[in-house]
Amino acid sequence: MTTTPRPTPQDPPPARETLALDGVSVLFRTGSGRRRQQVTAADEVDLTLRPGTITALVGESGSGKSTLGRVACGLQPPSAGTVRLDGAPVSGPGLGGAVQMIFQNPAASLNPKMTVGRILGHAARQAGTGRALVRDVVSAALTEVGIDPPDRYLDRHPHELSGGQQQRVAIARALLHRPRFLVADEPTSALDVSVRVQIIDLLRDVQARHGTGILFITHDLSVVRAIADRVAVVYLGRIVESGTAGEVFGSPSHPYTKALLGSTPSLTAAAEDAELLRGEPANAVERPTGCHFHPRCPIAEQPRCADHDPAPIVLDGTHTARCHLAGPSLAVADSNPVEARRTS
Amino acid sequence: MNAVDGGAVTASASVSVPAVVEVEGLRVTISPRGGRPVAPVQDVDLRIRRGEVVGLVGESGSGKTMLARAVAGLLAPGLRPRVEGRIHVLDRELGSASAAERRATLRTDLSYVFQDPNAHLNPTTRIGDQVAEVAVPNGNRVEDLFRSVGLPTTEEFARRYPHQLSGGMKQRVVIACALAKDPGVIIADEPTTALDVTIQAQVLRLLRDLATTREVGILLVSHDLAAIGQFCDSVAVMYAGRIVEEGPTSAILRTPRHPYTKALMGALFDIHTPEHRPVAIPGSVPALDDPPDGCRFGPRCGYRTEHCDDEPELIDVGPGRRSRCWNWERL
Repeated sequence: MTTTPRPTPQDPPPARETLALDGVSVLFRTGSGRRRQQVTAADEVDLTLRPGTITALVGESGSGKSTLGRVACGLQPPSAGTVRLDGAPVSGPGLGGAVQMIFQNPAASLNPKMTVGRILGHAARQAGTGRALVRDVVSAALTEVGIDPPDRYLDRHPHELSGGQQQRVAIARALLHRPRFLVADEPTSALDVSVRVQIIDLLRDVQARHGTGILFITHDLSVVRAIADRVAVVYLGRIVESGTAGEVFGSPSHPYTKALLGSTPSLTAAAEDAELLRGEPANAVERPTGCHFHPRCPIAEQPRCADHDPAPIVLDGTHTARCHLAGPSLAVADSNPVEARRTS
Repeated sequence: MNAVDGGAVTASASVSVPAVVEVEGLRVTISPRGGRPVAPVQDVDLRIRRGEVVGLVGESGSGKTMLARAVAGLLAPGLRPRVEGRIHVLDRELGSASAAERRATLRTDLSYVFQDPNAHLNPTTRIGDQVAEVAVPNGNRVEDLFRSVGLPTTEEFARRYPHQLSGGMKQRVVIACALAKDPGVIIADEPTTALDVTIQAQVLRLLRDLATTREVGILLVSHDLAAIGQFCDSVAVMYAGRIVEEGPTSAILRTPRHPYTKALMGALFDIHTPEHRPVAIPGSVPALDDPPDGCRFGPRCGYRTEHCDDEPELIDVGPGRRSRCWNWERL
């Protein structure tokens, strides 16, 4: 009698054309002497980005989502685990030109002393554009991100642009490198509501036109719901639920995901309906035992949730959740770390 | 009339509930050094009643923070502000009061909660002592205040320093400080913008509950229409220094009667209606020193007519509702 193999949470090993974090952990040390502490910002995380796909990384501050973003574009070497591009291990800023990053605060990511033309010209030459062509390439890049006519903006400094225009310039700069993947860390959080949509639309255009794979890091689930193909929810350095947007939003299975959904402000729902989380996010220095979420969890069962660390459970298709009480297989949820690695 | 039971609805619907803040014809002019004088707040009327949470919504540059600070007497002196119009706080006229009288009223009757709790808390003083400083002279106990804002009431907790708390807890301590003098009014300026979404919901619900249980009038200033919509009884929408629409929250969100409110709602992503494709508002907020002629929103407005070359007044557009638009019936 053979046992049916467990369904794997993701499609067959997607070695080609992917950017993958493979068992990535990031530890930071803080303080010194007796105050020395270790912060676990990422804990054996697996995450795969595909071309032409928007993957959202969702979580609260301190969850480790930005750290994962920095690992994905080579700005942060992992303490353990590997970053693979098309199956081969890679490292270094930009992972050899394959990945570019867009930051939350465009004003801080553009050199205030340089004009738009010089900022972009510099990037174009870095990307190998011949001197004679730089001006044309830069103008084309500005037009592509909706800064039109480009000639009017080439001689301006970043402070002479609105927040939305600054972010467009930052995106144009990233695109000049023709990256296969973009990591966008809260790219719209500093922008006004009326401008936010424009930047989101621009990123979707980029994705569609160039087949760029985008890792979209945000705390705003309403944006994720509208644009993401895949979603990974992060809590204290771990992915606690992941799947396609349809899977995660259609049947959210981790209590933390449900709480995030319930706390997201909406024009169409009354606040009284939402069940709110107790307590504050735990800190990454002293992570709770067992399931890291159990002290805040509305459905935690003691002693299991406090004692045993849940492994990711495959719920359906590519949908996984890391909770003892999630989904149909709740009875077989086990806490064996080896098993956990195998299923993830 | 008691506003406690049925809270929200009773307070906003009833005229007999006394107003704790009444602003009429407010105009704030600032003259920053090296710049021309400009008026970031113009022609503003605003009323906050006991037990009521009033939301003040606008994008950056709308003047919402200037308005809130003008009411609280907290405009930065470096801006050389000039405030015209009437500001009543608990039946005392502040506009014509001497500086000392104004300070006395604001010190006892009005609390201001800033976006960043670190701006309020002294990093070198234990949180219990900071709250006690205001609470004890007013006959309040720190323990009671901590309980009412959902903080632990243990001695150990009260002895902590601000840096030992998370952002959400710090903001609760600030709210405890704000309550410590039993104010009639709390002005909270983006109190949850720096907080996580799960904590934001907790803090906004706390403010909502405190308005009801302690009969405080709260002005909640925010850029987030969705958050305001869920926790405020009434809303005032600001654009380019003016209130362009005001009224009961549910009515405004159901049938906005100013094109800007409608555009703002249309620009939001909504978690429950992912099929809704948000639409950006074309153009940008006008510069303070170069406002357009006629309606300030005119250049960005899809409902513009010739009429809009004349600036509209705020007019009645329904029960308790006002809009600054000539064409509101066409929305």
